[in-house]
Amino acid sequence: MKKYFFINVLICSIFLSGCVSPYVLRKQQKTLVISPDEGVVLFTAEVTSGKYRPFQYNIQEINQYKFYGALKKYIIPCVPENMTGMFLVFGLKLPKGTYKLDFFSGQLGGFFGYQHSLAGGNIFDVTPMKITYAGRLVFGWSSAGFSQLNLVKDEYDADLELEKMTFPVLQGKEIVKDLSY
Amino acid sequence: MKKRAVPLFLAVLLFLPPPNLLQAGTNFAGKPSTQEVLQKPDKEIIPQTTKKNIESISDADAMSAEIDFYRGNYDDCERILKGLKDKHDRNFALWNNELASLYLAKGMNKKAKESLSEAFLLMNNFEAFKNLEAKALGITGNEASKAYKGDPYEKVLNSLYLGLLLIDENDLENAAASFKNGILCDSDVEGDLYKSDVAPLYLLAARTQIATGNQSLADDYLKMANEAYYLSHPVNRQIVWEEQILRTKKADAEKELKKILGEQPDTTQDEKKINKKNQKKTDDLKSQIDALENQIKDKSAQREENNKKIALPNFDNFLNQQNNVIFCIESGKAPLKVQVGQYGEKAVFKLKPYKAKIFSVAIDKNINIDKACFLNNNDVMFQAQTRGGRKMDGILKGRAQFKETTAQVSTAFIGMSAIAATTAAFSGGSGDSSYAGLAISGAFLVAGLVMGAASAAANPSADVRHWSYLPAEIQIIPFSASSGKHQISLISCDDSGKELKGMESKFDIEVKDTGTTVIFKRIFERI
Repeated sequence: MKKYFFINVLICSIFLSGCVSPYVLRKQQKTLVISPDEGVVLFTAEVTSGKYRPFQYNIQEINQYKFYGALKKYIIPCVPENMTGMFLVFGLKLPKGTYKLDFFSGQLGGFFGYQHSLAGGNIFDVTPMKITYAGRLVFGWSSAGFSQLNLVKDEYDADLELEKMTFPVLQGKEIVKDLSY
Repeated sequence: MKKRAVPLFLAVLLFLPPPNLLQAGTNFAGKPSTQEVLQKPDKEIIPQTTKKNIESISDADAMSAEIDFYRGNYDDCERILKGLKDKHDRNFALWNNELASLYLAKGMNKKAKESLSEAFLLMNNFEAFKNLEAKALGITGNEASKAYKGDPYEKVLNSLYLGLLLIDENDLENAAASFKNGILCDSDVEGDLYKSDVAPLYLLAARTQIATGNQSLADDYLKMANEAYYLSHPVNRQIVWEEQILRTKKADAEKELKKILGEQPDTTQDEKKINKKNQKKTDDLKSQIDALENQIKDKSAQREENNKKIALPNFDNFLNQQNNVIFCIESGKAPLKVQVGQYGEKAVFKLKPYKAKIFSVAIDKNINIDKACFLNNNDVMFQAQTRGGRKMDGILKGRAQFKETTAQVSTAFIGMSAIAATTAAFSGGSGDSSYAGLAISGAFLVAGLVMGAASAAANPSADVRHWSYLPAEIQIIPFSASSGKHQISLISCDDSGKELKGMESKFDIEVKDTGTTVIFKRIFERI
């Protein structure tokens, strides 16, 4: 019995650990403290086709002074509470620096759908002690399949409303525009 | 049961994801893949000073220095860069270039010149750090372990800045040599049309030649400046780009044709058959070259037509020695060089958009400088993107292919090892056959691990070190002013000419009694 308990704990720790990430802002979060070496970046994604459901996205650190293998890679889960209709609302607290939104992983289709990755490549900056808005990513269905992620729209006012609704902790905070590119 | 336990364990082990996947998976929960300590959310944090002793400064701090530079924390940035420079490592030229940009932003021309000179010597020395270059060429070598000597566009800008600062010190002979070096570096690119497209270099070279009494050479440089200005003008860039592709295609076809014609055998019957085959290929290539030639002529004609629409700045202002001030406005952030591809084997440039594109300059409140005097369209992104392919790109592509193939073979071997182990576990045969299966599994495993190790050792990632403190654009304005103190008023506007609020500045300059005074002003768009 003890043996099975250990195996269960091991399996749970492997598969359920992705649910919580110290980088993701949470709906129930009461305070937001940003240290001098970190910043918060906000962005939204508009999925113009209901067939696609992203479940995680990958972010890579951009740092020319480091060897490629030493660059930090982050796999951030898409939390269901951050999805409002066609919009995905993201809030990340990351160490200061420059990052690349590498790709989204998700499921295309319903129950029998298949995994589909969307290549990105957008660069965004995390400015120390600042909350920045990086823009709205748009991806949707086209005749050639899903479009790439590199289309960024500036929907500052509308998106900030969404962000503040999703993350009440942002209410009353100064949010500056620094679009991804 | 015990007999099956060993192969079963081995099979389970082999079906687990490979180590590289596990490594990536460790940060699935958002945990960093490299050593770092991060605060948990919602926890009160006591800000800690990040200042380090000079001795403990490493390359890892360079990004922090870059952020400090763009945030205006010049002292922190300088401390880190100086610490890095004092190490005299393979990035010596990079640290010096970055220090120079910092000193220019601080208005410290003399220090900037010293840093640029140190970088210049290394960037143009083919023999320096040769041993590191040899190592980087091996299959397991890393391109980033070479010494940084910069791309052609970085060498061009190093020479341009150094030349300007030498003019400021009235060292005209060395300034001329620096511009000449920049012109040579500009020609060190693949595409013919991009070989001489940095107009400021030619104009400033012409100016220094006039100052040293060499009018005929100045005229030559002026002619080249005209050509360079037209070639690099935004109106022409698309056509130049298309024309360059056609020229490259034509050059490739000519090369192939030359190869075939050079290989033509002489007499025998068999060789005649080959000749027939070659004849068709030769004819195809010849007609392809003719077609390309016509397309190139069309593009050149379109370019000539476009040139008529381009208003040339008044180049005489640059040559006129009475214009004793050269004012350089640096705006935007340097193009970012990033790795792309499965293994980061390709390098691409990304430009952060910036607003300040048009400037109004006034001296002592009331004298506005005519915009026709501004030499603009000197954007760094254009120069960075038109450098062409490098020999190293081919090597990195080969390494990426090697890494991928060996990884696939390794995975296949490990998979076969798992199957062999599982078969041995469940075959129900005697102990000997079970152990024979295990031996086969072991052999596959060893082969898989060897291939995996070879794959892991291959290093195809591109070197993306670059002079990231550069501006996105440099505008150069010559004007005349009496010696002594003057106040400059600078208004920044976006590309539609709308004034950018909060980006206007006023600052004092000191114009020298003799020679030319060179002033740099960096415009930052901080959030």
